Amino acid sequence: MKVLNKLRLATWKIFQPLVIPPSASDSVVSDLFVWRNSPSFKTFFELTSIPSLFEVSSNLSPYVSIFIFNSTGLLIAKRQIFIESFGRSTLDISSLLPPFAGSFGTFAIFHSYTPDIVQSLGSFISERGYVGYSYESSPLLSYAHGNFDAIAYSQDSDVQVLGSKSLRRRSYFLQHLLTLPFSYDIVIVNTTNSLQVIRLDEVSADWKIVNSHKISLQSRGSHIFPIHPSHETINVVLHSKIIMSRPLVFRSYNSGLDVFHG
Amino acid sequence: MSFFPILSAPSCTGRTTLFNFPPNNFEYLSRRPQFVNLTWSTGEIWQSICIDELPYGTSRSYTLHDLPINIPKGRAPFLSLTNSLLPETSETLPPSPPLTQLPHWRATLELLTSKASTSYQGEIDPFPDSGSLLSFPPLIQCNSMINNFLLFMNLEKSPGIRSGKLEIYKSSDRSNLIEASSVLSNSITCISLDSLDLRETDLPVLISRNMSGIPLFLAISDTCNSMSLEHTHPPASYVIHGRRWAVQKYLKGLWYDFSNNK
Repeated sequence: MKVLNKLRLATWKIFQPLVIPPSASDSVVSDLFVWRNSPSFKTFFELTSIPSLFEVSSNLSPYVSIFIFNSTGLLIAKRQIFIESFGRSTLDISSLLPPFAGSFGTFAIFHSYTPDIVQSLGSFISERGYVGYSYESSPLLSYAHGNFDAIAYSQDSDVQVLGSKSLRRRSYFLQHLLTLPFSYDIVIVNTTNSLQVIRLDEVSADWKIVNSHKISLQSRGSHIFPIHPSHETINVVLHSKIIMSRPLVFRSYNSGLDVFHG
Repeated sequence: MSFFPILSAPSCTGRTTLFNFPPNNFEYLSRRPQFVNLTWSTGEIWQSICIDELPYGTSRSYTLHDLPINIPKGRAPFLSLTNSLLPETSETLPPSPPLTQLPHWRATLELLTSKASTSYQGEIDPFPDSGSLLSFPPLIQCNSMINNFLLFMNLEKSPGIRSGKLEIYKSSDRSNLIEASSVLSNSITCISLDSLDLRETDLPVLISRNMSGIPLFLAISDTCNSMSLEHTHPPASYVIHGRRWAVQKYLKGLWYDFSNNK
């Protein structure tokens, strides 16, 4: 029985890594963070120099390259920003967006170099830091950490998405109950290198589908599923061939916002 | 080996929502009800009682008020889901077997005021008694209208309540200790961060040489209308692939040496 179960699990795991290694050894890696820009939302990123933490006496001036993608995955802006070695700078992503960027998309933060010690241990620097969302008139930022090693960049080979695909369609059951009176935005990012079909089911407490939404999403593309629970409680199930279709969830009510990863 | 704490913080109620369905469709196939266990440390032993039975496909929320007994003041309540009942008492933390890996089985860990709530999808697994902590949190919100707290959450196999020391420095001034606080094992220790005189450009460093934990950062607006809750990653998450834990060990050694308060 155990052998059969291992064989069954193997069909879900073999040749289906969560992420593939970057092809260039000098690559740096980032999550594909979600930005939102509208009268209600602004997006900020807490910039710190990860390489400097490994080289406390280094004289290098660290900087980051910021790549901004629109919701279809198209690169729409690229910036270089110098940062303090041992400081924190709250970067206003909304201010970096070009005109007509749309109201949401993704961005990546690539650090300027990989410390020798990191390279010698066969690792790559990865930015999975903290995005702050301001909402309506709230005086504070609601933070969500990066979650995934989604995209790599090297000076020679440009950008490479790292998420791999499943051989079979997977279902991701969000372990969070959607309840009244909140409104929800469920955000999904395609971290694979090909177009993906994604279906989101809104499911009642007795697991009957009450709403279903199907989309096609380009590589690096992102999509928001707005959900206003019509039932007292709603479960969310995502179906796709993305290995980890863990969504970012925005839960709002009046001027209050809660952001978290599924 | 996952447990799901009920969080606590000033002016807030903790609420934990458990789910008896897996986050994916291939790792956990049982459709049986699961026992909901409450486990806490008396300081000498672990005590556990079954407080509920959760049918497959359902979820349920628990606050301190929903518990059938009063947990001793200062002790954290840890919930878990198991297929068999836990022993009423044990000298080491009862096993709560991993249910899924990709992703981990999570609960909604939430803090509420009368006007707002904030949450993250989380779990806690026991840390080794010999563990330590290094964290660079850019999550403190410097605004006179916002109150910032650190919730240091620890769980170990041993039921003893031991005291650890948490040191806070500015990463730009590593020789000056700006705060030293006691943190307790098997507990959630709350530390106010507003008196630390940190500017928004300061990147703090948290160091504990004798205790691991999950550092959670809670921000509450003074009107209690807005809240934010997020945890920081361990240093291993600054890199991907290769010998990540060796990278973490290197980084800890470097920063433990630089800070002089040993």
